[in-house]
Amino acid sequence: MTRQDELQLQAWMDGELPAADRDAFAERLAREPRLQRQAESLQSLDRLLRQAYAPIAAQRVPTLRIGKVRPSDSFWALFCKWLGTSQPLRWQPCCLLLLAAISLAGAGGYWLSGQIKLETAGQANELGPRERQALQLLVDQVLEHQRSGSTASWQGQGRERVIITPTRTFRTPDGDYCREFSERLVIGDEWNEEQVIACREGEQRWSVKARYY
Amino acid sequence: MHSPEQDLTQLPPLSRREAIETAIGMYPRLRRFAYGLCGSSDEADELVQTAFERALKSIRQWQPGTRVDSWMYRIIQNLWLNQRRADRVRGLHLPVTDPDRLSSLRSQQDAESGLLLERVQRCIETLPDDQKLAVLLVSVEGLSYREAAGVLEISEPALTSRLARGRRALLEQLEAGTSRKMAGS
Repeated sequence: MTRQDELQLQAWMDGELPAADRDAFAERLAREPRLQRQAESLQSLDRLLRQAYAPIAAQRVPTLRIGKVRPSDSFWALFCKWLGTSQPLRWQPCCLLLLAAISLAGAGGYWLSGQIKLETAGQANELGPRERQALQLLVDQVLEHQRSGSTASWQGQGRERVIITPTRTFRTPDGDYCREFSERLVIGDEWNEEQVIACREGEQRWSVKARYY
Repeated sequence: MHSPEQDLTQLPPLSRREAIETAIGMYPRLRRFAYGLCGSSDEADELVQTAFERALKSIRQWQPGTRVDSWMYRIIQNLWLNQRRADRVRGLHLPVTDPDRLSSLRSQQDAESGLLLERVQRCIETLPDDQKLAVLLVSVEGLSYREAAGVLEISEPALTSRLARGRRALLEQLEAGTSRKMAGS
């Protein structure tokens, strides 16, 4: 079959052949069994594709998390308009304010990160070896069986409680299966959350590779 | 031949708010398209979610009077292509052991349709990206050549060429699979 025939047959099948060529092509199709076979193959392929993907469109869809989003360009449009129509002197205080804000945010972030790390280290140390072992079992089970977005929790003997939520599944270039999850440690009214990446090392055995805040 | 689903060209021009509402109404179709691209429900859900966020943020770029579905398909395919490029650098996502996909299919569909989907998806995943997009938009989503070419921002002859190559490759794959199955049994 020539490329021209293939494209013409495809256009006929998709209802895209110009009206003027349609009758002539239908006559040709009736005359040529080879063309008919190809047409049947293509039609059955499309039927198969639609049939295969139909269940996906029929499934119950997860809820969309759509909030009220301010279009990002409108703010900048207003800001640029304000700067554009203002005196050139307005640039100077703007830049100074921006610089001060960046410096303050940087210093604040640095101070806060030190506080959080100290606090976390203190809380994590409160878990004993038996609790740690029980927690590891929970992590293994959750990562092995639970879907992303679902949550499991573990309650210790005392006031401590750990909540695990897998968030992402991926494969490393070396072929290892890994999952990312959030681990929230709650002690009384205080809590701390870490993001953890663990990779599968055997059946229901997951090893933590990274933790970050 | 095309999908009997709602023809938006027949509707009066939509406001931007109505466009978003219309897009939400198309959620199952958009998710099906995303699934065809990603091959897992988890990744498809994330892709569609991100596409809606992007659509809301850039709603001003949508031109009233143009098709909402084409716009949403374009956003999804752009996000997916970007994700593919990033994956090549960072490492692959996992389409194989997707418990979400297996559990949801097994519970909602009988095993036969689940197997059919897996077989077709395996063949689709072997296609180059440009052919995969053309086949999914025309054969599965039922877009016309003009609409599909608009989504992919290519000419109609380029689209028909990609579509023909994609269909030919799929037919070969499926026939080879059937022959192997028969030889095995």
